Amino acid sequence: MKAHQIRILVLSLFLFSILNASPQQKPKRPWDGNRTVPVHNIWLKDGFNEKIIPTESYPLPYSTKYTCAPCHNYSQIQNGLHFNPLSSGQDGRPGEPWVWVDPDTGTALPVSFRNWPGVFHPQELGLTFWQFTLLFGRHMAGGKVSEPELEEQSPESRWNVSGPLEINCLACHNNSRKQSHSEWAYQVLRQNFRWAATASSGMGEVGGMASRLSKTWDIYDGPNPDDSQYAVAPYVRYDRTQFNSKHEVFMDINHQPDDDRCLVCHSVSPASQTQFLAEKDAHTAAGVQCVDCHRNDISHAMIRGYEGESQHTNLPLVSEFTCRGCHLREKTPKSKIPSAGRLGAPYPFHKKIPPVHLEKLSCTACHSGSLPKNSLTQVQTSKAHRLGIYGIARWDLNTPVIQEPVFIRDSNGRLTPHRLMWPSYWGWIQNNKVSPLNPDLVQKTAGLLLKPESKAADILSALAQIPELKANPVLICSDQLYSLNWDGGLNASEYSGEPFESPMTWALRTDRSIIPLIPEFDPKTDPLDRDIEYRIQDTLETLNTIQDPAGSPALVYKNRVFEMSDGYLENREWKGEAQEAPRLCWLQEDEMIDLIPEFELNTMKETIGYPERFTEEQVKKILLTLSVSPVFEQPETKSKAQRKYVFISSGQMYQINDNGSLEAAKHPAAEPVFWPLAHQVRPAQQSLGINGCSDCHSVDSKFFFAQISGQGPIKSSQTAQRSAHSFMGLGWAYQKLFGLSFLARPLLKIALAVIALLIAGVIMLQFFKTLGYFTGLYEKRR
Amino acid sequence: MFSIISSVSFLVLVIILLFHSSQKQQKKSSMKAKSASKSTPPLSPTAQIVLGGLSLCFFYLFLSGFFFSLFSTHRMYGLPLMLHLIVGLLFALFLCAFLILYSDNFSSFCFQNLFFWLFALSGLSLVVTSLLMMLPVFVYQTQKALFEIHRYSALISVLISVLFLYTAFLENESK
Repeated sequence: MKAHQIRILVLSLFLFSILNASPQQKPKRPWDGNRTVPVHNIWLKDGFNEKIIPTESYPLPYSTKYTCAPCHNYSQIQNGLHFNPLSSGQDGRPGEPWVWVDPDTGTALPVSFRNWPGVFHPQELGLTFWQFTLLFGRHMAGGKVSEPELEEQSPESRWNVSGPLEINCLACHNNSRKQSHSEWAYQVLRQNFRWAATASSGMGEVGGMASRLSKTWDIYDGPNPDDSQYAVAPYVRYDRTQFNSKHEVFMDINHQPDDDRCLVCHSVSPASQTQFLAEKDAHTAAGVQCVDCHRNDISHAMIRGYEGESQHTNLPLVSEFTCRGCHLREKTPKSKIPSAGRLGAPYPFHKKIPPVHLEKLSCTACHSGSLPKNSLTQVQTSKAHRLGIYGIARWDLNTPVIQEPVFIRDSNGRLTPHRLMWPSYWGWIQNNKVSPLNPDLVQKTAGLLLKPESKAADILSALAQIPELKANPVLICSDQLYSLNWDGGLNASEYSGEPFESPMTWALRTDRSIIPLIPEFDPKTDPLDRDIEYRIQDTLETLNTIQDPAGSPALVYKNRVFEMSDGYLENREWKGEAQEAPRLCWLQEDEMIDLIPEFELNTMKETIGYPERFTEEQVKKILLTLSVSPVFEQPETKSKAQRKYVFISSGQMYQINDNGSLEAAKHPAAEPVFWPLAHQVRPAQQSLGINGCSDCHSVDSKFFFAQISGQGPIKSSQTAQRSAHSFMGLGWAYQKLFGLSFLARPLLKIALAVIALLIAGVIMLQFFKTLGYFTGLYEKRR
Repeated sequence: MFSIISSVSFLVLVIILLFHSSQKQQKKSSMKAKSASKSTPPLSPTAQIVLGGLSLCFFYLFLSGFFFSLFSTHRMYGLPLMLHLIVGLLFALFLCAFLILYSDNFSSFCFQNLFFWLFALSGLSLVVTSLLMMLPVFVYQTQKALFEIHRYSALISVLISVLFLYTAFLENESK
């Protein structure tokens, strides 16, 4: 064997040993009974199980897998509730799904690896582990899905660049106030997966972006010597003050995470509420922490705490950690060891509540979530609305629309409050099954139809580049004023100034006033006023830079038309209809075309400034475009005619019928997705029913008859309309009648009381008569 | 539990009555009745209305109440419950009227009269418990206890009413 072959063999063996290195785990010692948390002065270890020396020039980020593993079994933790939705055999009661939101296409798809009703499995949507992690890693705790094995990695993924997104133990167990969820989210979005835990822990500062590096880069390559500005390889600079002379770092570990750590991902708040008005959960206010009930051992198989969980898991005490388990004495085991009253849970007497309510309703029906109103309460959740990530970027908090409370029967048949989300997506239907289309492909196909404001925005942003204007260009259409926003889109506001003659006026907004971009002038004057001439010239030259124009830019005013020719402004007689006000337009073979076509303008009027994104006309056009696009050719369909494209939104399925018009129809795919809500728990004094039976049982009961409208990105009069009772499986007429009966209840009670007294009187009389017989008094009196 | 107790008690009652009736039949055939049977005097229209109403109401209450107890995993709900409440009020009304108008006819000492007064007592219990359950006064456990009392009162009243009718039938036959 030659020398270089031996070298290769040795190197290969070395690399193999590194790649197959697994965390060294000491056998777990049983708990010694001490209730304190040991001081964690420990060595940080990198992803190659090497100790981290913070003073090195290019230290690697710490790996939880190797840093925590010597004492805590990583592979066991990996199967915990938060880390592995794949391995759990039982998915349990539905929980909040991930929501794939794509605002441009109006997509809001509920996604989960768990087999819950109404949600899509990522595989169904073509989402790989890589894409899933990019989409939702911001609020994931790391683990299994985000650190796939080599054979599970998809070809388009960049795991070798980003590294794995390991379980972030400190996300929950760090007691330091430096633990930053925002930092975690930034690093995930930059594809710095390997560095995310270090950055968010506050132990080091992470720079660089893996997303900007080439696909071939990996951590062995180290810093990028060719680029120190843009494609900077991720790096970490540890805070050396946190290390001692032995390079150990003190980790302020909390065995039982604070509620703040849970609420990073599990916050839910009413959409319109201010922080000042936000109430604490009754349990939190009483000093009970999340983990006091949602317990777990090292397996991190956490108790979720719902009724019937014992059917899904073998966790000890699982049936006792429910509302009823702690507060009522129903679940006391035969061993006679009391389980109720744990953590000082008070026993509810439920005075005035007929027992049937405790059989037909879950505890949360009266004690959790928002109180029923005429319509549902819109809420924001951490996972769906990306809450808790603080920085410059802002996003639409109205999407997806999640509402509460909707009362639906749980597996025990009890009415339980749920949150609801109406899915919205573009899809195709075959054999009555709707399959979603990838939002990216829809965007690619539908193009500007999805963004009708883009033409106006392009023109306004081009005009904004003219330095001489010294004001913000705006577009005024009837009573609406459109201006550019930071994202390159348009904001709409009401225009109440002096009306302009033209239906579409390009204007300039200064601090004090709004003036037309091209003021009125005498077009016959030759030469023109210099300021006017320059303004027209600048404007037309700017319009010339617009992509895909419908013609050459021109200004038509009275019977003159102004155009640019070889860099000079020229004007000639306009043979078309004379314009009363200066009108900017495109000219194509002497035909005047509006800068913004009618469809775009109408759509802008209908959608900008409103929560809905699309008009029915727009949806129709997009569906027609999809039907002729070659992008969506699928081998399983024999011909295009077999495939129909649909838009699911607002509880309806929109499709083009045989007459070529858009129609809305009910379809199971358009039904909302539900998941039960458990928190936040209101105290007894704020529970539903505290005001008496009429809280629910009345003719106009909000509990039974709240109006629920389908929510989605389409502005349509055909959205689904439901009444709350329809989700409960209860009849409208009966509930109305039952509500009405409560008006007569006082009379019924009085009548029963009088009758009871009379019957008792007759019986007493007979009793005394009989007594008289026996004692002889009766005969004596005779 | 209640459904088991109810089923067993109905069964025992039927067996007892069948046994008793067969014993009576044997006695009858050996004795050869000589006297022609007399028919009972016809009831007044008021009595007919009151007794008819009472019987009909009691029959509906029995059906709706015991159907849910014996054949359903749910407690009574929906329209049957609403009707149960309304018919319950009518039953109470008819019972009260019957007691006021005709209780004097049941003042002598015999089994039939004893059954009558026991029926009246269980009827009172039914009315009182249903009233108390509707009042916003009692805690959950007390309400549950009231519900149990209501159910067992209903069972007793049904058993007693069968015995009452049986004794009435026997008396009618002996006349």
